[in-house]
Amino acid sequence: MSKSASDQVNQPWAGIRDHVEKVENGSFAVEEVVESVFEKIERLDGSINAFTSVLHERARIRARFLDKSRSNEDPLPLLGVPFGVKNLFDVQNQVTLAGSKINKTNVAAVEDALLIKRLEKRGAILVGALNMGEYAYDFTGENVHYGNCRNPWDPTRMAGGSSSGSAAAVAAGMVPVALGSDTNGSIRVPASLCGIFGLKPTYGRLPRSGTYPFCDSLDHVGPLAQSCNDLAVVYDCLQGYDKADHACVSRDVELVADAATATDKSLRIGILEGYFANPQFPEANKAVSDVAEALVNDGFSVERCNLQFAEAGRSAAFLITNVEGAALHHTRLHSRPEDFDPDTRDRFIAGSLLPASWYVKAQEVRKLFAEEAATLLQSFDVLIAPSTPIRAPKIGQKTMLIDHQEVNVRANLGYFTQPISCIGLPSLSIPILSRDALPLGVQVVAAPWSERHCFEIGFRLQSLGLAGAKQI
Amino acid sequence: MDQKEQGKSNFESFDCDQFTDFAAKAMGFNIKAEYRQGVIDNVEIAKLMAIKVFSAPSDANCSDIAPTFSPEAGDH
Repeated sequence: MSKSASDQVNQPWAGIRDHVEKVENGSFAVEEVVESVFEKIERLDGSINAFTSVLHERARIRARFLDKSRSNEDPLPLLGVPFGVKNLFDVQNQVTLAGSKINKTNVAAVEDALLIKRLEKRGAILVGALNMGEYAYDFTGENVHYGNCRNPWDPTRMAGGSSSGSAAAVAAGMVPVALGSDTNGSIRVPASLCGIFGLKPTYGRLPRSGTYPFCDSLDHVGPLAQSCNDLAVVYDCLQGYDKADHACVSRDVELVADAATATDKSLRIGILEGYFANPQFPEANKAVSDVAEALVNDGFSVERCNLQFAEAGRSAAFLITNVEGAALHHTRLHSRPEDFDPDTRDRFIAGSLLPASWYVKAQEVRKLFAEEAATLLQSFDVLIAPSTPIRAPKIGQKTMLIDHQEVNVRANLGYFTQPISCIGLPSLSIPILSRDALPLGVQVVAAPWSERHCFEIGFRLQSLGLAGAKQI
Repeated sequence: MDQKEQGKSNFESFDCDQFTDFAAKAMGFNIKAEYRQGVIDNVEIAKLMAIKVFSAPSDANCSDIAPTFSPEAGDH
């Protein structure tokens, strides 16, 4: 790469639209972009451990193809945009690890996951697979098999999980966007701790085809990015029905990128209290109140509201995950218990033993909570809540305080995200800017299929200067 | 006794140690000594979650559960 091209490519990321424009007008070639990404990964990932594999040959071949075949008549919205995927997405000729040692001996995937195909069809380039908590049963980003993923803001701290590598790679600027999965908060928790945007769409919106499952009735997939604009552009490219995923709902694509210019102040905003405003988490509460104040000052209607069954809903999600996840791994738990991460194994075995009546009751409560939320969302267009109770804990920290009791960190970083995914609502985690502290996110939650409302508020908070990913 | 209290009291006799040993044996799990306590700790956490779930109101004559969640389109 020439010095001038290298300088251009290595400018601070200015967003997908700016990047695509520069590739289209010949400021730099896609091949140069890819080499620049590899250089960044080489330089930064030793201390972060976000990548479990870097796809040099594949990405170079793809870059050369794009450089030769690109056409100004038919511009691609993601031309030359590098991205990574959590290593539970199938990547052709790679083994789908799902963060585990056990899967390492599986045969390689014969084709890419559908969402990888969709992004590459629009011009993006897959550059690597990303670290994650074993079998996605994790909120910490710790992994005994492939090493802990570290928070780029402070490598002694957790990146959050289970899409740890996805969030850390984006926060560190190694890739501008990544894909992750979210069963109980696994996109929103690491997005919050690493200070980036992360979207868990409505359950059934994005097809999970070609991804390794965890808990079928709760599994979602979605994007993570440095800005609301990039997240929206990528999300728009990901949308579309696929019959191979039984949970995917056939709906028209509902684009959100143009919500960046929305000026409508008629959205009714609810600030969730009760369970979501636990006084033991003052920093999380402060982030939410800062958002509320900014939106009031901006002319939005903001009121306080409550979901009284949130705690029961969260508990239901916990039990459903424990039982369904354990059922998936039943055979492996019997035959290879020593090959699991000890923390994951102990949780899964416990889930294998739980009484069926607990699971059935949890499903009843899930329905009750979904009905309560549906009623509340007739009065509000979006609901605001913290993404995580605390900022990134130290790696290795085992406990935290909730209601004056020491509780397990691994299970409780999803305290605020778990009720929302339990009932499949779309939720956008937004990084709230603070001068000196580690990052912390706030969730913008909407009714099913109303991701656009989440983005409208995300864009607004970003333009008000309250939300955004700081450059490290 | 209201439903919430009833939900809690049903769990008073639930001993996580005994339950884990009994259920593991019945389910064919050979839980080794070095991780037995880890499994029991997780059963204990699940029990706390179950207490909260059973404290929520429900219709005792209804079996209408949501085995797989299907979101409905909102009126937006």
